[in-house]
Amino acid sequence: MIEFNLRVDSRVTRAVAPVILQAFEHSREGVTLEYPLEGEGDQDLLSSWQNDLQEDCKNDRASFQAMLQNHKFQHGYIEVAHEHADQVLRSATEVRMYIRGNQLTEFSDEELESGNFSLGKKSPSSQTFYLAYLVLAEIQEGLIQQLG
Amino acid sequence: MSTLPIPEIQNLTNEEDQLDSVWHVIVLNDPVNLMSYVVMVFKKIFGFDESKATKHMLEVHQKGRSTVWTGNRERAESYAYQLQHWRLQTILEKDD
Repeated sequence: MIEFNLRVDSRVTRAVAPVILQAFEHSREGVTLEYPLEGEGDQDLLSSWQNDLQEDCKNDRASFQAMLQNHKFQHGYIEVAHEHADQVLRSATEVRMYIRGNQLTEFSDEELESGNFSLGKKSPSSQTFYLAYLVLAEIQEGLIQQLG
Repeated sequence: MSTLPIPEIQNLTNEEDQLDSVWHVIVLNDPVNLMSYVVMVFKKIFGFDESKATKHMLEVHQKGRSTVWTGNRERAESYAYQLQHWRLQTILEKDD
């Protein structure tokens, strides 16, 4: 079992937990799983590619959901079975991509990469989603460290 | 670090592509994925050591793309599938 405390105040974790759950529930809509060769016209190939990836992503989401629903998560404590760590990492990326594409439109890529902006000047909704985005990154960093 | 098993993918390529062509697997930059995440994925999928994985990650970050593998189409598709599963933007390009 991988276990660690997030380096985030647990009040923040409690505040963003419902936001992460909300983004998680919508995240599958925002994912594009295109065949990686532009101009490929074989519809069977494209469907097969997308369907297989969607199926694999379902397993990722199940592990991520289990982590979110663990009551310890609200206290900033992450508990993930070692064999589910990769799935949680992938699903966290999916949720971050959804948040970036749909809830952080006020931010430029440069602002998000550098952190060089005034959070107070963003809308309250963007502020909350930005914190959720950071907490998800913190979860990923923690898992990557634990995986060594 | 061990490599991920290569998933079974239907044989979707024609024989000519498999035998004669060389394909590049190219990872594109995105504003979301963490540098440490990209390095970890390269190590897992390709078995790169830390130095090589970091070199490719930085190339993606600074130049917008990095060719992470070159070879036949079937394996290129398999690698692209795994990279997309890890949510890295990936394209295939045929070598001219």
